[in-house]
Amino acid sequence: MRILLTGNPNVGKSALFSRLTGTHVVVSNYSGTTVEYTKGSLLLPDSKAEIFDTPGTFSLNPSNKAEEVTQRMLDEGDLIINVVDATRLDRSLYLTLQLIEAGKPMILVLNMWDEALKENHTLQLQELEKLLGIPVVTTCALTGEGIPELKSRLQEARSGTFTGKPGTTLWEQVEEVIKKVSTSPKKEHPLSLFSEWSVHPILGPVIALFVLFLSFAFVALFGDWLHEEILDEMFDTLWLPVVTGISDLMGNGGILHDVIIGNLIDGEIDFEESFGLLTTGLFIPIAVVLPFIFTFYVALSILEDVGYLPRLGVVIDSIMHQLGLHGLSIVPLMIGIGCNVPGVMAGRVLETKKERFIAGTLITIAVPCMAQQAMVIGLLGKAGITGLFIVYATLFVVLLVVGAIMNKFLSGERPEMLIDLPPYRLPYWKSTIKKLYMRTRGFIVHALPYVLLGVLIVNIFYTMGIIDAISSFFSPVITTLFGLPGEAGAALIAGFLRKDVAVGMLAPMGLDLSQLIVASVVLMVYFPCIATFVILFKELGWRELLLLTGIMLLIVVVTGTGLNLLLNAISL
Amino acid sequence: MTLLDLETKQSGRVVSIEGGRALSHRLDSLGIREGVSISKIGSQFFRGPVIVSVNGHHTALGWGIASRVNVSVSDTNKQTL
Ligand SMILES: Nc1nc2c(ncn2[C@@H]2O[C@H](COP(=O)(O)OP(=O)(O)O)[C@@H](O)[C@H]2O)c(=O)[nH]1
Repeated sequence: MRILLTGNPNVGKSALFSRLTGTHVVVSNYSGTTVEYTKGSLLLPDSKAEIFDTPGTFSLNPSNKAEEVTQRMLDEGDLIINVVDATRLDRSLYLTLQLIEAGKPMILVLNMWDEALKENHTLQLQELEKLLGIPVVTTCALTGEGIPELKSRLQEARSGTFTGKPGTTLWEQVEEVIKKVSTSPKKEHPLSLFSEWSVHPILGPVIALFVLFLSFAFVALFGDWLHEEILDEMFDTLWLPVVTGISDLMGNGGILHDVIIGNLIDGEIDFEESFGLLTTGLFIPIAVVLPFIFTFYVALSILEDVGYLPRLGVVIDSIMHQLGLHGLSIVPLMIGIGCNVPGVMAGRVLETKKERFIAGTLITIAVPCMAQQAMVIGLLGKAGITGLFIVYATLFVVLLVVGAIMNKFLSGERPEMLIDLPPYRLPYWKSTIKKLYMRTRGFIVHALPYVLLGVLIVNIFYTMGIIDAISSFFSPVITTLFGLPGEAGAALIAGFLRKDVAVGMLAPMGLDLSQLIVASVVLMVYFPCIATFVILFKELGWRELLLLTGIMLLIVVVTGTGLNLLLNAISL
Repeated sequence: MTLLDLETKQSGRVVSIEGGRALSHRLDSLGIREGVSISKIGSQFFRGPVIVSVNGHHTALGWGIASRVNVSVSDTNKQTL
C-alpha cells in the first residue's frame, strides 16, 4: 500500500513522517524532475505500507514544480493522509476540499493540536468528520500524542462525501465548513509580534544580521570545540596507531610511502604536515572541515525549522533581485557556505533554468565553502583581522557584480517570491536531525570521495614533478598579474585539489599581507574541489558547466589583478 | 490603487488581480482573491516584498506581484488611520 502525506508547507509533515516511519528513509528525485521526496516504511498491525512525504503545497492547481509532483504522486497513491495545522484550519481546508473532490480514500490529521489547545481554538471534531465524510484525528508531532490513534484509524480512511452548495467557490465552501465547526477566537499568536519585527523594513535587516552573527559565532565556537576536543583526539588515539603501522610496513620511506603516508616529521607522522593520502589527506576534511560543516548545518536546520528562513528571504529579496534570483534562493546559497556540493544540489528547487545557473555559479565562485575558509583562515589568520576582512569584502563584491552581470545578460523571466509566512514554531529535534543528516551526508558521500581522489592525484603529480611543470608554465601570469612569486603558482594550482597543500606551500614563502590577500581571494574564487565540478555537470549539463568555468577563470584573473593593483596603490 | 499604494497597517479589499490565470490561481490558494479583505503588515525598501495579512495569515508578495493586485480602500478605513 502506498500512503501519501500531503498538506501545506510547515504544517508538520516532516515531523509526522519521522514519527510514523522507522530510521530507514530514502530521498529520491521524482522521475523526470528535480523535485525530491522522502519515502519510508510504516509497520501496520497486519501489513507493511510505504509512506511518501510529498512537497508542501497550497492547492492542486499545479502552478510550480513541487505542486506538479504532488499532483502526479497523488494519482499513484492508495491512501492520503492530509495533514493540516489545527491553528490555521481555514487556510488548510482549501487543499483538503480539493483532495476530497479528487476522490481518493483519505484521513484528516489536525496537527499542532497542542498549539490549538493553547490558543483556545475550539473545533467540533465529530461535526467536522460528519461534514467531510472522512476520519479526523488530532496529533502533536512534537510529543507524539495522537500518533497511535492515527495508525489505528488508517484503515477507516475513505473517500470524502463533502459537496459544496452548487455555484459557490472553493473559499466560500471553506467558510461554510469553518462556520459549522469552529468557534475560534481571533487571537494573535504570541510570537506574531516578533514575526512582524523580523520583516520590518529597518528592524528586519538588523535582526537578520544579528541572527547570522549568532549563527557564525556558534559555528566558530562549537565547531572548534568538536575539532579540537573530539575529532583531533579520535585521530590521535584511534587512527595514529593504524597509519604508524602502515608506515612501518612500508619501511618508513619510498615513493608509495610518500603518496600514502607522506613525509615523516622528526620520524613521526604529523597529521597536519605529513601530507599523505591517509594522514593529512584524511585528517583535514574529516577532523578540520567536517566539524564546521556539521555545526553550520545544525544552525541552518534550526533556523529553517523554527520558520526564520522565509523571513530572511523577505529581508534579502531586493538584493537577490539584483542578482536575478529572489529572496528564497538565499537557502541554497547558505547551504553552500557549509559545502558547495549540497548547496548546488539544493538549487534544484529553483523554478527556472536561469535561476539554477545563476545560483550554481554564485555558489561556486563567490560562496566560500568551509574547506576554503579553513584554508584562508590558516593563511591569513595570524596576520590579523584586516586581511580576512578584505578577502570577505572582495568576495561579497564579486557576488554582487557577477550576479548583476549574469542577470543582465542571461535571458529568462524575473522570478518573484510569493510565500506564506508560517508562525514561528519549536523544532522537533528528530526531524531537524534528519535534515542535518541529509545535508552532512551531501558532503560525506558526494564530496569526500573526490576530495580524497584529489589528494591522491596531487601526491602522484607532485612526486612526478608535474605540478612544478604546470607551475612554471603559468608563472608569468602569476608574477605579472597577481604580483605573487612564481612558486606560488604551484600552490594555487594544487589548491584546487588540495587546500592543505596550498596552505603548506604558501605559508613558508614569506608573502606580505597584500600578496596573502590576493592568493586567498584567488583560492576562494576558484572552484572549491572536483566534487563541485562533478555535481555542476550533473545538475546543469556540460554546456552550462563550460560557460561557468569560463566565467570563473575570467573572474579569477580580473579580481586577482584588480586586487593586486589596488592593494599596491594604497600600499597595504 | 495597488497593494504597493496601501499604507502599512491600512486595510482594503482586493478588487482585481492582473497578470493571467496562473498568478490568480497561485494567489487564490493563499487566500488572496477578489473581494477579500486584506491589510498591509509592512513592506521593504528598494522594491522588496510586501507583507499582507488575510484572515490573520501572513503572506509575502514580491514587489512585481504586489503591483498587480488592485485594492480599494473604503472612506471609513481612511478616517480610522
Ligand atoms: N507545537 C508543535 N509544533 C510542531 C508540531 N508538528 C511540527 N511542529 C513544528 O513545526 C515546524 C514545521 O514542521 P515541519 O515538519 O518541518 O513541517 P513541513 O514543512 O510540513 O514538513 C517544525 O519546527 C516542527 O518542529 C506539533 O504538533 N506541535
